Amino acid sequence: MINVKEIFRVGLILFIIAALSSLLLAYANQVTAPLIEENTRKKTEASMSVVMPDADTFEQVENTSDDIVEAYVAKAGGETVGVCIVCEENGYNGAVRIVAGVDDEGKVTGVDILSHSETPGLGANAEKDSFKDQFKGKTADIGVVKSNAGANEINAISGATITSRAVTGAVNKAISAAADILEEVQ
Amino acid sequence: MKGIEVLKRGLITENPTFVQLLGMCPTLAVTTSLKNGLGMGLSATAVLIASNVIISLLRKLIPDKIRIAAYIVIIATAVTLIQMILNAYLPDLASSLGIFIPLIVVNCIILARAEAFASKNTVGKSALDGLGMGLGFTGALCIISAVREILGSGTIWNIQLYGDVIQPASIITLAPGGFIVLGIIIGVINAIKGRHESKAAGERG
Repeated sequence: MINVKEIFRVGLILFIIAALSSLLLAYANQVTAPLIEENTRKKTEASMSVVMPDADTFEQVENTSDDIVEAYVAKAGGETVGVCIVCEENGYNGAVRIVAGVDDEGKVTGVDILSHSETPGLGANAEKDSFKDQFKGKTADIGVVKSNAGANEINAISGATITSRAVTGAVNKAISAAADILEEVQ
Repeated sequence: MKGIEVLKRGLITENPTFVQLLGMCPTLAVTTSLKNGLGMGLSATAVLIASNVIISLLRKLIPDKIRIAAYIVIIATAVTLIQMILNAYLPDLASSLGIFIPLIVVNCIILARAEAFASKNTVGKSALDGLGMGLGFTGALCIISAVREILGSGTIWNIQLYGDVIQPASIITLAPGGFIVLGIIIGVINAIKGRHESKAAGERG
């Protein structure tokens, strides 16, 4: 026979455990969320100075399309030198978030990976300079090949074609968004 | 059972990776370089100790019927908390550990130790068991990842060993290589163990 009272007792205990856990997590989230946001902002700013070394200030502007997350106009001595775009593309294990610097001629000045959850040792190698630096100087519609990259192509990371395509896709989105923003600013 | 025995069981005689074959998913996934192996091992050890202690403290309050569900909630909460705290206060460490932290939730070593040990033993012993099993897991990951990094990438701890002369076998860093290396290491360990056992039997007989 099923003991109804027992089921309720056990269910109640599990409910209490789950409720206490969620309370704890909600509290921890409230405390840490602003700090985490601050860290993310700092990281984005640090990455922007890497991908756009010529600029000294970055002003956030309104997004022109839903494809991108954030857009910044990069200035050096008050003059617009390019645009930094934060955008995402799905990789092997979820979104890969990058920041790309694009100069006023539509050329990529640099790419940095802000966050990803790709496989360590394979897709995570996208963080290496040897991969990221390939994007420097490239223009719209960059292609991905396995080896012997041509003029506007990059070499994929071996064993991580999906991640390589995701980063390239995000950079391509950034280039086209940057063109729109530059047109508006100038 | 003495404390030192609890430690030794996790490290050697009941090594979670080589003997119990637990936590194969993170083992195969992250052992592509020594740095990753060590990072995963140490973060799993920290969670293992914490979850063993909490579950051992609550072992008389949690009814038998819902224990597994309760353990999963507790472990997931602990991991999420650790991830939030790391992201907020130690962002550099958090970004270098990256995906390892959420991966720990699915590491069945933690659930296995909660069920097999922490739910039946005192807090002190459970903490020791967590430490022993965690270090055993870390050691095993380091051995596998060192072999895979040397053979597959031609580096160790990201320092180039060779590669200009001999092309490293990149299959070793891919998924099949994980199975191959793990299988060979377990085979070697079993061969050594078998020899020890037959020697011991010979001495007795």
